[in-house]
Amino acid sequence: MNEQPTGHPLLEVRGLKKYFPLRSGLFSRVSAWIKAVDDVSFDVYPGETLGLVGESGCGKTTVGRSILRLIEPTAGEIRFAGMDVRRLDSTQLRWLRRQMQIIFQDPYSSLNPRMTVGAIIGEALYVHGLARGQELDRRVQELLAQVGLSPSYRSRYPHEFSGGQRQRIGIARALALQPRFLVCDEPVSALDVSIQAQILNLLQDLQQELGLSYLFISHDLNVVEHIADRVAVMYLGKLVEMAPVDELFRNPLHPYTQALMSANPVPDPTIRTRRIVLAGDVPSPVQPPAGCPFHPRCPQVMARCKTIAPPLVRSGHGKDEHVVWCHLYGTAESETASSPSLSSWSSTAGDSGAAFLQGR
Amino acid sequence: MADLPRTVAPVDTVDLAMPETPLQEVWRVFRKDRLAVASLGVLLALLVVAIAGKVLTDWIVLVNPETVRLPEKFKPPMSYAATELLSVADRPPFGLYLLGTDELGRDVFARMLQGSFVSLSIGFIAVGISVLIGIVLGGLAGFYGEVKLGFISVDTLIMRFTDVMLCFPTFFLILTVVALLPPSIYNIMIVIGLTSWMGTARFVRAEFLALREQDFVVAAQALGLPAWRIIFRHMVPNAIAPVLVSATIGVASAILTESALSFLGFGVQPPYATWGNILADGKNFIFDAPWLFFIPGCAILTVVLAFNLVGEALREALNPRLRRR
Amino acid sequence: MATGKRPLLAVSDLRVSFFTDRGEAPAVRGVSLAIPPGQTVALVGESGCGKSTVALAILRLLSDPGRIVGGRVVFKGQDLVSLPEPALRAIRGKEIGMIFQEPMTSLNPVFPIGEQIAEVLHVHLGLPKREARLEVLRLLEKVGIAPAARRIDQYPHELSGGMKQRVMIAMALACQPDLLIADEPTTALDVTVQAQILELLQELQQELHMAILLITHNLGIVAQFAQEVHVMYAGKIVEHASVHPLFQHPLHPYTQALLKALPRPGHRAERLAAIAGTVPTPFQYPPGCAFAPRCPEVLAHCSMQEPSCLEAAPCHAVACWLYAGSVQR
Repeated sequence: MNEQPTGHPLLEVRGLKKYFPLRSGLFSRVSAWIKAVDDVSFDVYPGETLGLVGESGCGKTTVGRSILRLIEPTAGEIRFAGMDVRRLDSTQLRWLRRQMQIIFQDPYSSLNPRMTVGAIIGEALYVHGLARGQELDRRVQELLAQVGLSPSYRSRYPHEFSGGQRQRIGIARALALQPRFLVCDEPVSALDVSIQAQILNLLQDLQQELGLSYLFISHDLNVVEHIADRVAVMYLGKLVEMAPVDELFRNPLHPYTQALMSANPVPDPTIRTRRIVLAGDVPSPVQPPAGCPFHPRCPQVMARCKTIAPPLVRSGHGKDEHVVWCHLYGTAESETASSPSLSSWSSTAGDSGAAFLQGR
Repeated sequence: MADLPRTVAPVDTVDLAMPETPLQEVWRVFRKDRLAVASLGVLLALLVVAIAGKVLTDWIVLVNPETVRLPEKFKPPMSYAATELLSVADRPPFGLYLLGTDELGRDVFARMLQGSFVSLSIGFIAVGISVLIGIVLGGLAGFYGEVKLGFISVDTLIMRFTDVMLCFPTFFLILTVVALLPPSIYNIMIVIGLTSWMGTARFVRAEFLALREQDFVVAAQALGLPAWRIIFRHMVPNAIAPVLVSATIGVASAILTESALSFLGFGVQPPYATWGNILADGKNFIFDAPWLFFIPGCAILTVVLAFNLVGEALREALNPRLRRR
Repeated sequence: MATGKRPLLAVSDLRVSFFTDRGEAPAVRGVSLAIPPGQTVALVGESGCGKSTVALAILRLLSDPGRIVGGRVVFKGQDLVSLPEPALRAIRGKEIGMIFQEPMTSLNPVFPIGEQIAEVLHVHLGLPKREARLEVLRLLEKVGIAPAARRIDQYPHELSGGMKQRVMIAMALACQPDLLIADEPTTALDVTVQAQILELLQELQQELHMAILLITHNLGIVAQFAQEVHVMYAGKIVEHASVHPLFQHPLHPYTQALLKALPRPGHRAERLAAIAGTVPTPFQYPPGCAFAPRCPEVLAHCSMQEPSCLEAAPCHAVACWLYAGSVQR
C-alpha cells in the first residue's frame, strides 16, 4: 500500500472507560453499570487506518464517539495532536471539531431529511465562518465533486438519493471542515457489495489525497483486512488483540480473533475453512465474566482465565507491535497488564512517551 | 500501485427521478384522501368567510349584527325584511334575512359571520399559545433532560409538571379561571392555550428523545454546531409533524371549548356574537325558532369535523413509515 | 447435479408486481428456478433485486400492493399459485418452512416461545397439548437451546438474537418440512453467531434430508453453504450454475463484477473493482438488459433487447448477449 508515515501518534487513547448507568425504580436510581468500554488503549498514527473490529455491543461505536467527545467518557485519557481532548474549553473544542469528523453506518438516518444536500454539506462551513455566499456555494460544489457526485445535486433532498449516494453526501459533510482524522463507524455495512466497493475506494483515495487518518470501525473482517493498516479486536468492552493487519491475519493469537476469522465465510468455495464454532452468546456487559471476558466461550479456556484478568503480551515496537491480552501467551508484564496506565505504557513504549512531552 | 494514475471516483450519472420536495410528497399522500381534501376546502372557505365577516361587520359594516329590530323577530331563514318599517341603516343587505332573525330581530347571518371570526381566531390563537408552550417545554425536557437542577433533572421537573396539569379536569379549571377573570375574548384564548399544551409537550419530548439518537443530530454535534442551531434547524423541523397533527385537532377542540363556555354564559359576552352564545340564546326558542339552534350547531359540527379529518389525513401524510423507503 | 432428478420445487417464469400510486413496479420479472430434494440452492443478489419477493411469492405471502401477475410455482406436482387458500395453508409451515431475516420481529412478544412452536404442531399435526410440549422440548434441544426445559417458558425478549433465530428454525422445522426457505437467516446476527446458525442448518439439513432455498446477499455464505447458485439482478436471474463453476468461471459481467468488488482475504493490496452507478429500483429498470448501463462489456444492442437465459456451458445458464453466439441450439 501507500508509504506509511512514521513518527508520533496523532491520536493516543489510554485507559478509556465508559460506563452507562442502568436506572430503575421510581426515582431512577442507578442500579447497575453497563461497562460499554472498559479500559481501552490504542494509538492512531498520521495517515494510517486503524481498524477496530468486534461484534455488536462490544463497545466499538462508543469508543469512536468518545474520541469525538460526542459521549463523555467515564475515565481515561484521549490526546489528539498533543491536546488533551477531555479538557478542552469551548474554543478548543471548536478547533477539535475541525480536526476530527465522523461518518455513520446508516445512510438514511445520517442526513437531515428536511435540508437540501447543499445545506447539509455547507452548514458547518457557514457556522464556523469559513465560507459565505458564493464562496460557500463553490466549496459545496467542490466537495460534491470530490466525493464523486454531480455538483448539481446540491439543491436536492436526501430522500432522492440511493444509499451509496447518501453515504457520499455524508462523507462530503465530514470533509467540509478539512479534518485530519475521521472516525468511520461501519461506513459500508449498510451498503450493497457493488456500492461498498465504491465507498471503500473513495475512502482510500481521499486518504491518499488529503493525508487523512481513519479509525475504521467494522464488524466485517474482509473489509477491515482490505482497508486497515493495523487492526484492534474488541470483545465485551475490552481490547483482546492489536497488530498490523498482515501480522494479525497471518498469525492471530487470541482465541477470539481466531474464532472470528474462522467464522468469516470466505467467498470462495474451494477454500473450506476449519470453523471454530463458538458456543453461546456474547455475555451481558452489565455483568461481564470475571477474569478474561471471553473465558465462557473460549475453546482453550484454562483455570486462571476464570479469575485472573489476562496479561498484556507484547512483541514488536510502535506500529509493528503485536499485542494480545491472553493467558495462553505467558504472564509478561502482568503487573500493568489489566490497566496500562498512561505512565506505565508510555514508558515501555518509549517514543510515544516522548510524543506526549512534545505535545505539551 | 503508487505510480499508477489515480482513478477518479466514478461520478454517478444515473438520472434521479423528478425532484419532489418533502412538501410535495406530503401533498401527494394527502391528496389521496378525498374527504380530507373536501374538509380542507371547507376550512379554506370558512377562513374566507371569517375574514369577510370581520371586514363586513366591523370595518365596512355592510351587515350589522347588533342592529335590534324588535318587529322583525323570529323571522325564518330566507324571509324578506319589511323594509318600509326599517330605517335605511337597519336594513339587511338585499332586504333578505339569509339565516333568519333572533328574538331581538338581529340578523343571524350577520351574527354568524361575526361569530366565525371569533371562533376561528380563538381556535388558532389558543392553539398557537399551547403549541408554543408545548414545543418549548417538550423541547427543553427532550434536549436538556439530563441536566440536573439540584436533586432533580430538567426532564423529571417538566414532565411531572405536565402530569400534574394533565390531572386537572381542564374544563372545570377553565370555568374557574374564567369565573374569576373578566370574561374577555383574550382571556379565553389565553386560558384555553394555557390548559391544552400538555399533549404537544409530550409529543415533542418523545420526538426529541428519538431525534437525539439520530445520526444526523450526532453529526451536527460533531460538526460543532451551536445547540440552538441543532434544536431549531435539525430537531424542530423533524419533530413538527406530530405537533402539526395535534394542533389541527387542537383547533377543533378549542372551538368546542369556547362554544361550551359561551353556551354556559362564561364565554365571550354579548353583544359580541360567537357560535357558542348564538347557540345558547337559541336553545330557549328551540321549538319556536329551531334555526337559531341548528345553524350554529351545524356550523360547529362541520368545522370541528373538518379540522379532525384534515388532522387525521395529515397524520397519514406525515407518517414517515408510510412514505417510500 | 439437478438434472435427472425431479425437482422438489419448480418455479417457472414467476412475475410479481407492486401496484403503487406511482405506477406498477415489476419487482420480479420472470424468474425460473428448480430446487432438487435435499440440496441447498442459493438465490443471491443485492438489495431491491427481488430475491425476498420471490421467497414470499412462493408461499403467496406477499402483502398488499404486491401481486403475482404470472408464472407457476410447482411443489410436489401442485401449482401453489392457483391452489386454494386452505390447501396452501396446509403446505405452509408443514411441507415448506420459512425463516426470516429479523428474528426480533418474527416472534410474537406476548407468548412464551414454547407455546408458539407448539401452536404449529397443534395446527398442522393435531398434536394434543402434552405431546406437543414434549415435541417442543425435543425440537429446542435439537436446535441447541439449552436447557430446553427452562427456555421453553421464556418470552422472546428474554432471548438473544441468535437464540431467537434458533427458535424460528425450531418452528420452521417442527413439521419436518421437505423445503426450508431461509430469507437472509443470518444477516441480523454477529459473525460468530452466524457461524453457529449456518452450522446448525447444515446439520439439520443432513438429518432431515430437506432442501433449502437460501436467500442472501452474502457471497461468502453462498460459497460455503450452497450447491447451486442463482444470481439475481433487477428482478431477473442473470446466471445459474453450481457453486464451483460460478465462483471460478463466472460468465455474466454482473457476477464477475460482484466477485471482483468483494474485498478478499489475501488480496489486500489490490484496488477493489467497484461497479459504477447504482442498483436500479423497480420503478426505473433500464430497457433491454438491466445491467447494461453499469456493464463494462456492454454491446450496442444490450440496451435494446433483453437477453434470454441460455445454457452457455453444461449446467451453466447465463442471460447475456456476450454468450448468445456461442450457444449451439
